[in-house]
Amino acid sequence: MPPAERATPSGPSRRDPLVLWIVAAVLLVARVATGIYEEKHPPTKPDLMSWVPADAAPAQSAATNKPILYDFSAAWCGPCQTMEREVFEDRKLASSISTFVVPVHVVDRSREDGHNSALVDSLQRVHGVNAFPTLVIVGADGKAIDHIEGYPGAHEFVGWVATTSTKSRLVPGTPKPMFP
Amino acid sequence: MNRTLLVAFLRQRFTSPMRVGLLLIVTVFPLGAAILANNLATLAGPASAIALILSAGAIGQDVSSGTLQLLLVRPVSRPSVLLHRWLASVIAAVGITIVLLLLATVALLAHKTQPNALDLVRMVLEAACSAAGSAAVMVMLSTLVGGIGDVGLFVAAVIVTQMFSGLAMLEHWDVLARACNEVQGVLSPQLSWAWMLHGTPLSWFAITSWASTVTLALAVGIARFNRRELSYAAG
Repeated sequence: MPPAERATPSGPSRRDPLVLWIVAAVLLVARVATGIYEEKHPPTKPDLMSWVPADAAPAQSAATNKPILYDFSAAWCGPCQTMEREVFEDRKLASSISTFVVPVHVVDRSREDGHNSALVDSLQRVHGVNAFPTLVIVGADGKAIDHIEGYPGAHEFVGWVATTSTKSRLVPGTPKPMFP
Repeated sequence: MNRTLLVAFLRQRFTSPMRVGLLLIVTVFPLGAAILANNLATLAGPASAIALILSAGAIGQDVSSGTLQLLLVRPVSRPSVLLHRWLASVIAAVGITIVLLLLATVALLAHKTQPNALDLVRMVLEAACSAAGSAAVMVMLSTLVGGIGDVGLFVAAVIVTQMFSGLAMLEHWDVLARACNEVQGVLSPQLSWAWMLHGTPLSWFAITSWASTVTLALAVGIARFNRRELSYAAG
């Protein structure tokens, strides 16, 4: 007697996935609808960093006795986006930075617009910015105390800001770090 | 779920010297960079590349070699074969990414740097989404052409999109720039999970874009595969 045949799935082997088509169609409609909606009402990012305009920063630095942190970045720069996500959009870290420094966001638009504003060009030239992100801490007299090229990681970055700004305030009126 | 289909596909992929070589290239360098820089950020990218390497030629290569004709003699449906190959690529890509993250975490701990646990979770979730997206697109392309012609299609699409994107930027053609951006999103679908862990605003457009790209790619892939005539004749 031949062995009994094993049960095998029956039905067509080329069945079109109707459910998948319906889900895909619904998602496509939702994609268009949400795209149109978010074009008109873009989701707003939480303003966790109190960015100060570059031209107002020296006065605020003098008034609060805090050094200025220049964050030189660009929209196309991947590490800048990582830093934004990990540091500037983190409530705790953003608050820490604002405690120590007057933060200034300087965005390079030369790739998108073909040129930068005169102020951005001048700041980049003065601080020798060749790569993004470049982070510079500047004393109230406008002289750079320390700088970093590249994003070193969230905790390293905040640690650097805290250490450098504390050093700069140990000797009032002297932007030079006490322990170079 | 058919475990045999998953295992057989992965065994086929991991016994190919070319694929293993490419996998080493796209994993060892980011891992080394993460250890040297003491930062996990460089490990955000490999998942998509791993998924592309594993899913390239998922259907087309077996059609050309005649393996698929033999497989389809078995009681398995064509949609099932395609979905299992996509799923196997995603599982392997996520698994390799988790191993990379664990190795990098151990290295960081040895340097007395403690990575953020929530960031590790976010990176795994983002790796899963980009792997699912890239594998879906590549499997869909592999139903259109034989061999590993899907790689050619993918590379050509990326190059043409980059060229048009550069032209749009130079000429300030916003509509073309937007279109290129959408095509780039379709070619490498990604989804950020920062909204869940870092309190950034939730974009429903980003979620629906990723999900619709994955489901559409799979649906088109299955529809094309179902209608493809496979010759059992030699040659």
